[in-house]
Amino acid sequence: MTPPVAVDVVIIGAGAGGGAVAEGLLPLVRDGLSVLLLERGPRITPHQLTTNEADMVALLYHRQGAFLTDDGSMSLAMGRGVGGSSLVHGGIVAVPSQGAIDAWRVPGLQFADLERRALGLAARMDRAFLAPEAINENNRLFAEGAGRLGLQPVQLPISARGCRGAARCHLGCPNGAPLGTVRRQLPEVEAAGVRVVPHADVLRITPRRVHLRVRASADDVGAWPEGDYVVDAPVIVLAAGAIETPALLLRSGFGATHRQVGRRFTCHPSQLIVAEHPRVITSDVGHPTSYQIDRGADAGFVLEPTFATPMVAAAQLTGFGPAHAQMMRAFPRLQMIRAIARDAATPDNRVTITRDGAAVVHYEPSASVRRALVAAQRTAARVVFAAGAVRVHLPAAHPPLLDRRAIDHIDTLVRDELQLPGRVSLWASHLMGGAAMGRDTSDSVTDAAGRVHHTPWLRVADASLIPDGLDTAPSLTVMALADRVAEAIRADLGSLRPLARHQ
Amino acid sequence: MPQALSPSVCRTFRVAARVMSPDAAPSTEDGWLECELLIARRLADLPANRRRQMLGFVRALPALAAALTGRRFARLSAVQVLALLHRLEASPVAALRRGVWGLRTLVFAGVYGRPETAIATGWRPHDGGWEGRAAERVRTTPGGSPSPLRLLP
Repeated sequence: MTPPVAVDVVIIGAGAGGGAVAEGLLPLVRDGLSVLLLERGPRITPHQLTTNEADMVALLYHRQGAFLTDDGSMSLAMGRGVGGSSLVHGGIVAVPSQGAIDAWRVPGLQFADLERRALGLAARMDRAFLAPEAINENNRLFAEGAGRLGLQPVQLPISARGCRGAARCHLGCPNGAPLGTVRRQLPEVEAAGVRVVPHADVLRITPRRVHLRVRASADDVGAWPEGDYVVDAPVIVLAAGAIETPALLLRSGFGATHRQVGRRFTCHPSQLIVAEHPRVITSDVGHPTSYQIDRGADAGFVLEPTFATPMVAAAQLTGFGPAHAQMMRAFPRLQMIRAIARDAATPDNRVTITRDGAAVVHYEPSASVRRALVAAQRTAARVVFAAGAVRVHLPAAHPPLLDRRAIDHIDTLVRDELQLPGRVSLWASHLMGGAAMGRDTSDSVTDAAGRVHHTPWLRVADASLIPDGLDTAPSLTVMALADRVAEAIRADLGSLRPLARHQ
Repeated sequence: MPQALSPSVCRTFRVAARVMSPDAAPSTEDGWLECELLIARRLADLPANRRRQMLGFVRALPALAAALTGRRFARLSAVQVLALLHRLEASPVAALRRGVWGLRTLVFAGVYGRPETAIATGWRPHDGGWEGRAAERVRTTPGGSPSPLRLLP
């Protein structure tokens, strides 16, 4: 064991939340505040990003994207590395609605404040809409089909500067396009003096102390030699994501005093729907997601064009055998849509830990989520046929492959009882909750500024703060919440001294 | 380096891959070895209990075949293997459905994770995106010209 390292603030997790907190502390860093940013994964450099899917999934995703829920029926995608899930983020910069934030009923959290911060962050990410001629056919067909059905698709803003349309955001943008955590925040905070330590696996926290192990760290910039360490800091910020933050709290014994740790986990369960067109369409070039049909309010689902590379598409498509092979054979002619269910927190969907402290996610899609995904599939089928597709592959249809003649019977062919766990492919990448904001320990883990109840030295600043359903992809909301956490730390620092530099 | 799969597990994976992914299953011994290495790598990244569950199902498949069809797994035709897997996939027993789901996930990771197979599907990745695609068209199509596409500032 090496001697304790003393800093003023230690942030655990270098993703969207950790990056935003570090950025929010920059004025104080420039004034001498010492900030350490610990990241479990490696530092990913642009030259490591290739088109080899298997290698990229192994490099960029925790457990190669196969982190499964407890019953093995849903896979959860989490980025690994300095940048966290922003390494594989599609660059969509979406501000949540006032209705969603108000529905959380978190005392002290005002929509206007969150919106102001989100828009400020979005501006720094060069939030913009793609020009019409830069939108690929996969997206155009989606908009045309939806328009013909009167579904009013809306265009989504993205962090557009630098996007050349390589269409593999989920394998790490080769052009470093999204101006978020990886490309803008982390370089800025490191340049200002924040130390980023990759390969740092935090084992547990005790009052004002972090216990960590640095694993084989090769020669990543900033990595410490292999071994066990402790870091002392008057402020500890957890930003390890909606699975690892609650798991770390539970490993550290907070479950006994904070009964809501791990609870209120939501994730926007998703399914891939593909449709075959009679001609090749551009989907493997251009930004993957330019539009959205939002039926969240009335039917609980959202449809978005997407592009899955072959290995990912094969896994996300439901089934196997001839029908599956037929769709994979038609790959260059495939229109791809992601169906997303807007889920709400339930008592049973939560994060726990095993006896040796590893995170376990318990998640069972509610009846309303299952209904939403069935409705999403029926709507997606209508959209793709309106756009000219000749057949569609639907997870909850039997048989899964339906041609245009089936459109009149779509409601009877796509049925909830066929959505058997384990039979259909279900995945999620919007992981939220587990250390929710709220009033007190009876309903939450933290207050509206991420202060863990009754624990002034401990803060949370990631997607685990989100206490219930969210109506957008969470990354911008996470950054805005983390910005609030940084502001509260700045305000509280006086009462949290002595800081390391004064010891 | 992930632990190599046992010969019996490899045999089962090969049978499953041929029916689950009839077009893309490897056609050479080198291809199969590459496929099995990808599967072993994926398995090595799983927690021990999950790895045991997945390999347990693969090892149990021949016995399940014998119990459900009365015939040895290795003697089943492709149609019969497919029917068996579909039957297990729709089983009321969740563990069997999850077993098939895990098997297919590993098979697809091995089969489509091979760069040769990914490219054979028609995927044309290019770091340069639109510009790269347009330049490719210029190179390969007489009279082709670069794309006029642009991004809004």
